[in-house]
Amino acid sequence: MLTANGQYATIRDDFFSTREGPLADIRLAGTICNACGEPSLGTVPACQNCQSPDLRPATLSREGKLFSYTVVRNRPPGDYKGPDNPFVPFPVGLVELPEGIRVLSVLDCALDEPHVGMAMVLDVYELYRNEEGAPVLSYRFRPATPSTNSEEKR
Amino acid sequence: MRPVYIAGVGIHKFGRFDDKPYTQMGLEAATMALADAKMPWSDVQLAYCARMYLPATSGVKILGQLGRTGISIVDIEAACASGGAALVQACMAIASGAKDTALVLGVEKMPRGFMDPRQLYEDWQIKTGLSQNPIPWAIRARRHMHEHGTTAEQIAKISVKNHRNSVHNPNAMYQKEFSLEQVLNSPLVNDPINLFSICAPNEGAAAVVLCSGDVAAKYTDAPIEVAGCAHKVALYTHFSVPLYTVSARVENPHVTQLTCGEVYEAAGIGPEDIDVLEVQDTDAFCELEAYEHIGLCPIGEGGRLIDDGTVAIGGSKPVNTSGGLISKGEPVGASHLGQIHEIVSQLRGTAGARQVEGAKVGLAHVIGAGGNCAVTVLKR
Repeated sequence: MLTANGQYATIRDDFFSTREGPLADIRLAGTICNACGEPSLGTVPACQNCQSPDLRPATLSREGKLFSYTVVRNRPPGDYKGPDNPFVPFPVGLVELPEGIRVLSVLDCALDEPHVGMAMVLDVYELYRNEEGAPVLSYRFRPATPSTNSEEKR
Repeated sequence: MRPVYIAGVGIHKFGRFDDKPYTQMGLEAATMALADAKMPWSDVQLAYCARMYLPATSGVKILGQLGRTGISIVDIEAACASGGAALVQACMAIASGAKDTALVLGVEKMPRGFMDPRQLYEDWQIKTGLSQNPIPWAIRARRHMHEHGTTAEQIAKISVKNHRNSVHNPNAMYQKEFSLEQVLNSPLVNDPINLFSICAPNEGAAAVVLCSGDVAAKYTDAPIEVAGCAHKVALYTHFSVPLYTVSARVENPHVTQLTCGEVYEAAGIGPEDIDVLEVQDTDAFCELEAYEHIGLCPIGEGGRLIDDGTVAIGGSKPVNTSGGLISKGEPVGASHLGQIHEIVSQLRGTAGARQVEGAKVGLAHVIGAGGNCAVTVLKR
């Protein structure tokens, strides 16, 4: 299942708190600026807000609130690895985490389910298998409370 | 710094020209601008070529056909603001006194459909499907609807307006009216943005010939002044491609506000002084938001300007009299210079059925990937 060094492959290693253990224990990772407190997703060479290079590693919260959203109705161009042939439309949104960052994410829910302010929770999942047959992890968010009455079910 | 004037403009229709190379489209626009300025190519002291999807030294390949005069010819890329970024460079060269004349050419020949995502996105964004260009606009539109009560009908009405204006513009790709129902019933691309409210990447060219006041009389008796021209990149954090996070702690002014602020100060005007505008309408919501950031109305009230006719031809602030990018298509390198062509036509009073009576001051605005924004104010 894992790569040769015993770690998961990911879409971008610096986005994840660890590449080992149960997927449910993996969190989004980034940095927090020691000068102005601004968080980032993944590592950055300097704070994007105040340009300070004085940053500390941080693990981001799993729970957040949906700030806004849209739906991807057509297959994204290029090397898209989500459900394909046939392509399945999916919602996308900005999820606001308590650290003060909104993360653009695929939303794992029905197309008509997202609404501004809805409670979301992180889901680290296998997006696809690479050429060695190993899973490649990505992140998405799903509603914290599963829906019961959605009409357009994925 | 000394004033800079436009002596001539040229345009090659925006659209699809499968058998025509970019070198020919660019040549036609440049030749038209030089003829309009009554300026021989041998008088041009500096040239820039704005383009995003064309090969290296496109400017030399196009303008070199006119004869090799040995001047500096440089290609410039700043996404949707490429034409504006090139115009700024040429204006600075003339304003500083370094040059007396310059030609700025914008040209593009783009593939059909979604633009190649590898130009703008990292691999992981393409693999996860976060690589569709309208996503940031769509998410902003949804949030605007939530915060300010903007409606899908108001957004669609902007598309209806622009298509209505395009009927009188022979340089537009689509010269066809669409009803509100047709726009609202067109397929959703990224909710709430649908197909007939979105611009298509395409092909075309536009050119501007600039000169100093010292030599203007030699070429034209009706110079248009470049009263202000600026290119800026958005501060942290900006809702634009290739977006993946936005700060919830820091809210800086929008890059359109900052760029307009710089240009208004240089021109000694405010939004109240503008008679006609060409603004970026990558999609119809993008135009609605620009009303607010340009200062035509307070934040959140953009929808009112389309409802009450302010931004229609005949209103007090007509926007996209050319039909906008929604009708013309967006040949990225050429788009801002195409806007300049329209504003110059308006200020000269030669815009025909699209004419805004008595227009004296016009503004052109583009914004796109990376938070690139350019704004130009012209005065007659």
